[in-house]
Amino acid sequence: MPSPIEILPGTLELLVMKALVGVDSMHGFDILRWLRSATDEELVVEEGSLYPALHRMQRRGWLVPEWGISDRGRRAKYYTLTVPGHKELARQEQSWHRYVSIVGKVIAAGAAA
Amino acid sequence: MSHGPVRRLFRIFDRPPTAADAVDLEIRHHIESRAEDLMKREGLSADAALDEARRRFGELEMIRRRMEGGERRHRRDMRRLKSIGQTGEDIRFALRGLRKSPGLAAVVIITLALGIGLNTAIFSVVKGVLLDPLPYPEADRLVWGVGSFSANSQAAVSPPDYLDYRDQSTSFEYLGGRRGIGSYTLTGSEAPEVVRGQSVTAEFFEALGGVPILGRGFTRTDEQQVSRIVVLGHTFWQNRFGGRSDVVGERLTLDGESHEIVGVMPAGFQLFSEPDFFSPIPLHVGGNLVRRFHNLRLVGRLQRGVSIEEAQAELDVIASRLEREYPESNATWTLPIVPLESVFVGGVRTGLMILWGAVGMVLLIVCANVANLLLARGTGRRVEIALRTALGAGRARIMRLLFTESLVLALVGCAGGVGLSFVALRVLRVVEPGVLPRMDEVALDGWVLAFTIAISLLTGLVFGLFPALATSNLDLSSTLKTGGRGAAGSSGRIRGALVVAEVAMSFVLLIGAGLLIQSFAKLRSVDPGFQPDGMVVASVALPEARYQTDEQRISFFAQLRTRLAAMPGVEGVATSSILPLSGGGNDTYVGVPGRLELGSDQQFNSQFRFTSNEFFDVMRIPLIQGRAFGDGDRAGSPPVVVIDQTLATAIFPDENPLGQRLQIDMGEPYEAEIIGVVGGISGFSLALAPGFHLYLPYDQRPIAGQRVVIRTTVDPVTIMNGVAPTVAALDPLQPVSELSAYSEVVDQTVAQPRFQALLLGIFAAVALVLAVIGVYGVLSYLVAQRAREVGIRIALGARRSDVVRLIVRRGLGLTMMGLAIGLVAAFGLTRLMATLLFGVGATDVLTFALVAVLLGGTSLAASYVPARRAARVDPTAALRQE
Repeated sequence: MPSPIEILPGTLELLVMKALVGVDSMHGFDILRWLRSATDEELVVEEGSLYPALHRMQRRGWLVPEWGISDRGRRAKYYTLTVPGHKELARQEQSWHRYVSIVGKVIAAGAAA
Repeated sequence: MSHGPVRRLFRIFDRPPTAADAVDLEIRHHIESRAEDLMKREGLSADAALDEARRRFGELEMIRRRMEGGERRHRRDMRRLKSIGQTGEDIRFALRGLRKSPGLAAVVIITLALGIGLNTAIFSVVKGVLLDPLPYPEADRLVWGVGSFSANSQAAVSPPDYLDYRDQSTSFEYLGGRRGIGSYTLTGSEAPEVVRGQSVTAEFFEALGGVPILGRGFTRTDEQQVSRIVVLGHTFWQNRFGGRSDVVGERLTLDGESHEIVGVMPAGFQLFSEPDFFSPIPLHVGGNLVRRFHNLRLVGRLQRGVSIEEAQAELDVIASRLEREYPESNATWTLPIVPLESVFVGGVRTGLMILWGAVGMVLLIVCANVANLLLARGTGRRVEIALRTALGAGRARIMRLLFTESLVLALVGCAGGVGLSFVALRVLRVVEPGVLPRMDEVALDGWVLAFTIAISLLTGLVFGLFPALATSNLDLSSTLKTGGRGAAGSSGRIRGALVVAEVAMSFVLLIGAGLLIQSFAKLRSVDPGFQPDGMVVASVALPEARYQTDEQRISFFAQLRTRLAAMPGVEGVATSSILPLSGGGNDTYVGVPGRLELGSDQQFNSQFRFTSNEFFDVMRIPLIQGRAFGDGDRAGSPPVVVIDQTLATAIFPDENPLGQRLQIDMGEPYEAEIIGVVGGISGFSLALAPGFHLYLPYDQRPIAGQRVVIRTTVDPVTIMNGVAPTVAALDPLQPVSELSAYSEVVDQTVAQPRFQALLLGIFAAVALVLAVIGVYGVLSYLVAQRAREVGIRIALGARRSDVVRLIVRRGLGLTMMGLAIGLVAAFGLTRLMATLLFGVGATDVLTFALVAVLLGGTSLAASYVPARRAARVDPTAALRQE
């Protein structure tokens, strides 16, 4: 297993929203755990960037927070993906695919030369 | 991640922590979760796991700061959103509720529109007439002065006295004088026309702050001699000259004399009413030099910083100096001044305030009725409310919902009210018989609308309060168990109290209206001493330039009388200088040579008229003694006078007045022999004591202007059409003015009491209807609520008449309580309108009794309908229903 890599700037929000698609809602620690398992622990997400990112996205209206009781019986803040959040996710996914394909083309062209 | 449903249940306890706590909580939750994870997966001790979790979290403080900022902003946004969302939700809820019962909503909105509309209309009048400042710059410095002496506090000021006051006082920046508006004949380009001119002194324009927009005003030089110059009123300038700016210097032919236009006043410049032109008064000429001729009324602009009391003190000093200097003319004469504003509103303030109070009461009755309706509905909605409460809506939230509903209703009613007030105001302008000053300035402006919105909100609060209190204070479980059919309890009591209040207020209004209507009827039934019905009046003012000699004037009017009398349907024609009850009057002093000298304290002040020989006959004023004027009473024959019974009794209580000589102040003393005594008449007003009257034969004092009275046997209108052509046949340049039926002229003198009685009558009728609806509504509801009880009673053998009695008794009980409270209130309140009453006391027993019977009777009828319905209750159906 190669050592985990740092997350690329600007992609954290995309990953968080992806984590929330299809689930009712998650609290921050769950999101972190989901990201780790979904990436086979190959991607490092820092708490120091996750929580400020959650609050930023909440402010932009992509997530709504709600207070509830966790399955461990503690008070926890749950995040749900909103309709604007879903739209934003689709937009970011699309631009990510373009980015990858462009970067891919550049790399392929370099290899051919 | 499937813990959603469980968590949802707990969200009810969702009480969000503060922003800082929220961040802490979230971080702590994360660290604890991480620590647990570490303990499980890596087998660390609890302490070590916590340390490790903290280490991995990173720069705690920095992260917290970044989170907190976001959290705070977010909260602020959410709070705003939430309150907007909640209000929106409340309004949607209210509208949904109203749509569910459109009939009720319509009744409520129409009643509200009525109450709010009437209030808006009357307030706009109150504001325009009473509250708005007069349309003059610094109007608070303006004062009004009329001369006063021992017998009359509303006299006038003589020109010499005026000049002394103007020259000797220092309290005024300007002190101007004016005479009443007079009629002039304008000839020239078009057909002869009657125009209205007002004579004013120098400083009159300046005192009111009016600056001519063209040319100049009047100076003291203009007063030295008869100056044939005029300043045009703005409206006349616009209509006659199309607002031409080169009009100064042009000439107008007024009463056959050419006058030069020297100026034009700005739009709206006027005092009481706008004349076509202003002319200067030649204060230093002829009769204007006589101190006994009081014919000016003064308007002054106080110097800045001088109070009205200081000015009065100075005028009093001048008055007593004049009294010492000219004891024969100035004994007891003073010049009291009052704020100009009080002259405008003095006569109508009480009436308007009472009308305002009345519409306020109508609005309160509307509130009570709407509250009642909403209460009835609120009771029907108990289950809904109880459910909402059970589901966690707090009492505050429920009250907020109900209040929003009331406010939505009030605001819709407000919109309707504004529309209605617009109509009401237009109607009012038409109905208003010219008794309210400044009615043309009345408008629905921003202040009025603000007032309307304010009273609408207040209304919503008032009528929303009772339902909100009664409904939000429910016993949940019992309401849910009985399905909301339980006894009305406190809401029933509130409804009863509201009806009592309605009845009480209606009683007060009906009493007020009853007293005014009775006053008006009494006033109208006063015998004026002559018979105005079936008479036509007109005014013919001969211009002195064309009718210079007495013979010309005598001949003109003689011919006119003959020609008018020849018209079919005319029974008789007479002329007189002044007609009784037509708004004008001339008075003078009367003495008896050798016994009762003119100028003494005992001299009589009497109205006088110059009349044609047929006057008493045509007017149907009875001749009591002696004879009327005859053909022998002409120029050069011995002067004669006819006096009325009132004057005869006063001057000659124990003697035969016939053959006695009377001394009459006509500028110079004028002696005449009394040849007849006629019945007394009302001169100015049916409400005032008749006063003294004397008559002089026209042919001995042929003045230029006469009123024509025509006694007809047909519809006066057909005769009216023939008057102007008859005059034109005699003199094509001679106009006729003020042509109308005499009964209409007399009606005008009672226009104000009629107007007040009419308006208050309408308001009281509205109040009565509303109160009856209230009584009916409460009892209908009671019957519906107690159908089961009634059913049981009937099943147990109660007679249907017992049931009717039971319900009616409840209705009468409420009415009686309302009547009792209303009686006490009316005793206190009608006192305020004592000055508006005529011939009836403020606590007139008959009125009180009649109104009580009327109100009791109608509410008895209103109770009977639901009572009959109760008696028809089918016992089996009623019992099965529960």
